[in-house]
Amino acid sequence: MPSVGKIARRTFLIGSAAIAGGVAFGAYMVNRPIPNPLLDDLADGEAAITPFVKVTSEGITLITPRADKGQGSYSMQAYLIAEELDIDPTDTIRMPGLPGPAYYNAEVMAEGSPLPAYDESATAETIRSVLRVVPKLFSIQMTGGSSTVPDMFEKLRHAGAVARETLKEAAAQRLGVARVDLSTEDGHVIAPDGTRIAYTDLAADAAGIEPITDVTLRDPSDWRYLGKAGLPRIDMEAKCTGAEKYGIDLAFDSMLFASICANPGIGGALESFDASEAEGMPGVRRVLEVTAGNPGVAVIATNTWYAIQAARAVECNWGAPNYPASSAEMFDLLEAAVDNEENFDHRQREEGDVDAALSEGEVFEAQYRIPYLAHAPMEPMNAIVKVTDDRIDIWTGTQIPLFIKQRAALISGMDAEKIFVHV
Amino acid sequence: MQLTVNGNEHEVDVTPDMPLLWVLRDELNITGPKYGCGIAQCGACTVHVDGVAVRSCQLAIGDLAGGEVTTIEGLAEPDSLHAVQEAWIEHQVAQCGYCQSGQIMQAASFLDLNPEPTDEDIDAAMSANLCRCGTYPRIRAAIHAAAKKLQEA
Repeated sequence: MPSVGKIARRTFLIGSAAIAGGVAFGAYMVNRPIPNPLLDDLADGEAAITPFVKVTSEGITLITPRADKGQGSYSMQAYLIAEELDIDPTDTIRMPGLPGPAYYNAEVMAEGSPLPAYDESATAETIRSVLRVVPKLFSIQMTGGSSTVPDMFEKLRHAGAVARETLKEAAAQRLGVARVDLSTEDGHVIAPDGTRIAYTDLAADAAGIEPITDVTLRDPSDWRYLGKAGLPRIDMEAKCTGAEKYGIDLAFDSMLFASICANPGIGGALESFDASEAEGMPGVRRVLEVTAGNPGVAVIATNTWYAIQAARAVECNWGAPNYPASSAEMFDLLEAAVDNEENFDHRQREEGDVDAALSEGEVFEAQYRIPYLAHAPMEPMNAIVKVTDDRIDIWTGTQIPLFIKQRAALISGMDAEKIFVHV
Repeated sequence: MQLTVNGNEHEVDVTPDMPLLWVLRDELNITGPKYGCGIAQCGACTVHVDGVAVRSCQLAIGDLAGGEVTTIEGLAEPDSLHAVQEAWIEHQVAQCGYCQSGQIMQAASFLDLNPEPTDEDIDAAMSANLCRCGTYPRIRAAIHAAAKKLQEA
């Protein structure tokens, strides 16, 4: 199994790149040896540049690629980098970054596997370990399954440490001293005589040297942010003053607004529609049939209100969806699907004597049912799309930016490289 | 049509039935007030008209009748945040934050009317402002803290 050994040796694969006026650091990690034939095809070129830390003369940017849906993950990702980089995260620019394969999420596939979370058998663990590699192979960048911190815990600290040591090396070369004699504090490299050099002053020097990748992560007892009670969210003030911008808040000059009237039975057809009233309403520019995704009718207008009003005025005849209309009927279907010999008597573990225990203790029987529940976030689904002859830009809050990119390519026929998803 | 928002006068060319929320958001690019439901069921769009909390998604611009509008962007003093905003930060209330502009505007207006609220008063006054993240216990704690700040001020 040569490839397994190869992966084990390169536990951390690191890249850095010169960017305009600065340097970007990244960490790219396969964190455990995985006996899996999929790995035979892994190419060396996978350590593509993965910027998590950008240093320019203008400032320090921390890239936090997992979406924040209120769980505080933008703050947590920034703290993970800052813990090693020695910088106050409020002194940085935080960006989710453009989606890319380097931001793949290993943990979400492991936890999202079709295995019960309690199944700790060797087979289940092997499958999970294989699944951790799959996102890397297929560039699955997604947020979900409580995977952000487990997936980013080492990657981002490592990126911070690589950036710190490389900045120290740049300072060492400039000052003619050894890197080990330098320390870092609050976005500065500190020379033995106390001279402070700002990271931003070292951007150009750092861009020209090989990144220092042989780094040791700090012991938890030395942590300044991580694990500390009362760690504030970095975006709290912006969320209390109306300054925080959500996807729905973005606006561009001469932007038009669309509201979609979609089949309430998902996947059901649009048999026919009458938009004659809507077409004459204030602000309405155009009425279009929606054919991609869930069928419906879109009204394009000069502001959201006009679009919503006109969409309500479109008369649609909907076809039925391919599922029952009530929860009771859905439960009947689910029950029929489960009530099958093949689903009985599955055993993940054999511990103790179950039959004996059941014969002497009190037996408690219960059935638990959970109806279908929509996520229903407060921010209604929305996206801004700007299409020009040579590129498409999409701004939207999403957990799966690369899927959006691929879907946009499919619909538009444009190359995926020319599609930019801003989250 | 003319309106005053956060002390600034604006002229907009829209139909009089257009709700204040959309005038603020789409015409004036004041995006602190949020669109959640559009039917006064969530409170995310709450602003003040002449100091009183209203659901801006239900107030037609033609019915504003010269009322002065304050949004979350205009709640703070020029050199300091409003006591409710300060309390919100101290108690780290916001999670996703989408409902919080409305929560804060509702709380500020409520404390004007009831400077020493009980838990029950707070629950009654705030129950129509929904938070999908479930920050209600911190909202309650922050309102008590803000009430104290306002009394001491």
